[in-house]
Amino acid sequence: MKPIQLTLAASTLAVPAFAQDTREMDAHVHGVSTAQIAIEDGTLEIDIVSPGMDIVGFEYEATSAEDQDAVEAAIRTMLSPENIVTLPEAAGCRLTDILAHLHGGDHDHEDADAHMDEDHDHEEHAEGDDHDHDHEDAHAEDDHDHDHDDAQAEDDHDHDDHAEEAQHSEFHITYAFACEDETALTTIFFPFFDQFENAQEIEAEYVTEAGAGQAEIGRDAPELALE
Amino acid sequence: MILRLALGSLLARALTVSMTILAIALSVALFLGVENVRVGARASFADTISGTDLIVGARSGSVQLLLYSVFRIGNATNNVTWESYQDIAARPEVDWIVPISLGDSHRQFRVMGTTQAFFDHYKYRGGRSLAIEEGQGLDDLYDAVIGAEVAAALDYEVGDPIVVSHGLASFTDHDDQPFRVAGIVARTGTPVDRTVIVSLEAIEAIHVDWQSGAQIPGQTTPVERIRQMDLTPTAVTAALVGVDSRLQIFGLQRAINTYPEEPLLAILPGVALQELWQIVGVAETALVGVSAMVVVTALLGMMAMIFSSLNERRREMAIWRAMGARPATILGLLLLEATLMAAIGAILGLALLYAGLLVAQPLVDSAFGLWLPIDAPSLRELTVLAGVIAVAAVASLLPALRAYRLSLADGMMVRI
Repeated sequence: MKPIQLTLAASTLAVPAFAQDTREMDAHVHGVSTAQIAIEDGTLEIDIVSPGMDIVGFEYEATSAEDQDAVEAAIRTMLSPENIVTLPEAAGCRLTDILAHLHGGDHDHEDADAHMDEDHDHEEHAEGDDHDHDHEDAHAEDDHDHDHDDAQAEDDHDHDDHAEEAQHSEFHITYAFACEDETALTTIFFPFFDQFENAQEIEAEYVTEAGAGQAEIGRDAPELALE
Repeated sequence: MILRLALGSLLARALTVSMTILAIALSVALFLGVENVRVGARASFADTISGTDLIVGARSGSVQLLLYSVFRIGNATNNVTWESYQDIAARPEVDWIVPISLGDSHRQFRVMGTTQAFFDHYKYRGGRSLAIEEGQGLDDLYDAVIGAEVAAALDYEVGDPIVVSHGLASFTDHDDQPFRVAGIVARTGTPVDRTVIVSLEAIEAIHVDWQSGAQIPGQTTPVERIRQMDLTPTAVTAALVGVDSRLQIFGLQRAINTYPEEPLLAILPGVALQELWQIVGVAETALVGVSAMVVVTALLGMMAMIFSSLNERRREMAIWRAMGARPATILGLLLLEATLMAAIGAILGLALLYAGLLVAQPLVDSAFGLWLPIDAPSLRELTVLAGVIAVAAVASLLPALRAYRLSLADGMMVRI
């Protein structure tokens, strides 16, 4: 995960000079989140992007105390992975990395430095902290504060650059787990839908030993079967 | 005893019974055949590419990119510039990258420009590599490696000259620069069988005297000079990418899809294939539905046949009653007859299916590149057969119950 983020960051650092030449908007469908799941050598990474509308019910910049509280509550919920995804007991998965934040439109560009900082943080804490819940929580709070500030900064930036573009905000969650028995990872459940009532569907893509695939996970059957 | 009676009774009406059985057999063969083609097509598509993590092309649709880059169906909307290709190749996550350049043809077959790496990294049917059956791989600039189907259809052997045509359906040949068949790839059951593979540089070389899609009149650069030229392509059609770690696939995909210099699209072949099945799935369901209705129609025909036979058999039933057969025996006899007919029909249908597959397999393979496997009947197929027989038994209950009631009332005093 770290190499990707670092390279992503590195590749996007050079971008701003040209940024005004390209205009594009990601597709953004309310009610539909995306999940990307990769499994290799016992490592499971889950990356979920949800429209702000699904999570907190609005996508404008949270300025009122009430809205900011809603964003905070959502991020706190996401920081406990069991609220969002549950894995089979038999797989023996432990959380090793977590990231939950809110960002506007095209995340790859503006969040670059946030990712970088987090990566450094992680490196400092290194492994072994994984089971230390207190520590994780503290760290998580850091994440949250940090992102929050960052989001504000981004928004300012946004306004300067493309003030006319419609504002869409998205929540981005990344979990990494270390699993003892990868083969037991046959089904992933998504309590996500119980937490966020506006969320209707997750479009999931996954890569495992057996190959790549995709599935639509609906509110009525909140589980993903991995072959 | 009752079985012998039932068989004898069926034999006595051999003509109508055999027509009914034939209808059931044909409908069962159709239903299983549709199912077989559906499963075979899926397996055939899924077997075509494995081991490739991402396919990169111009930004279009994921299904479209998959179809033209792997299956040679349809055409690219745009190319990928060589600079972008180099940028992607230089990314640290990329383990290997194979360029693909399409657009020219030889007779009815497509010509694909690529590098030697294609033979190292292209995998099919769960990780099998391409094997050169005769000759060798790409060595010289004007070497061509052809698929098994190309060799078979055009009767080519190693060493034969081969002239590439410009575009897909044009009369302009690149006849100033003939190729030589350097190798023949062993049959794979994939589109590679129907492809002429040349080097990326060769694609560039044959277009040296061409400008904006047409040959510059009167200009022919001698082959010797072309060999000296820098034949780095300016663009490729698509690229197959292998990633170091599966965990990096989505990250690389995101990076390529948001590549600012050029609108590119990276897809996971498996995901795009499933998207394709979602589209095709509707038609598949319709086909399965129609063939299921044909089975139902055949069973209805059988029911009608039994109903109409009841009248002519009233005297027969009456005699059985007189001989001491109970009404339940007559009901059982009719049920047994129907079940026998359905069972014979189902088995005959299965036989028809296999005969059909044996005949169709090579034809379908050469026409559509679909390899329909001939396996022992699957559990699913056996379930279908059992289902048909069971439904036939249930359907025959209606006429059987009628016979039961009639036989109670009729006794010996039948007035026909």
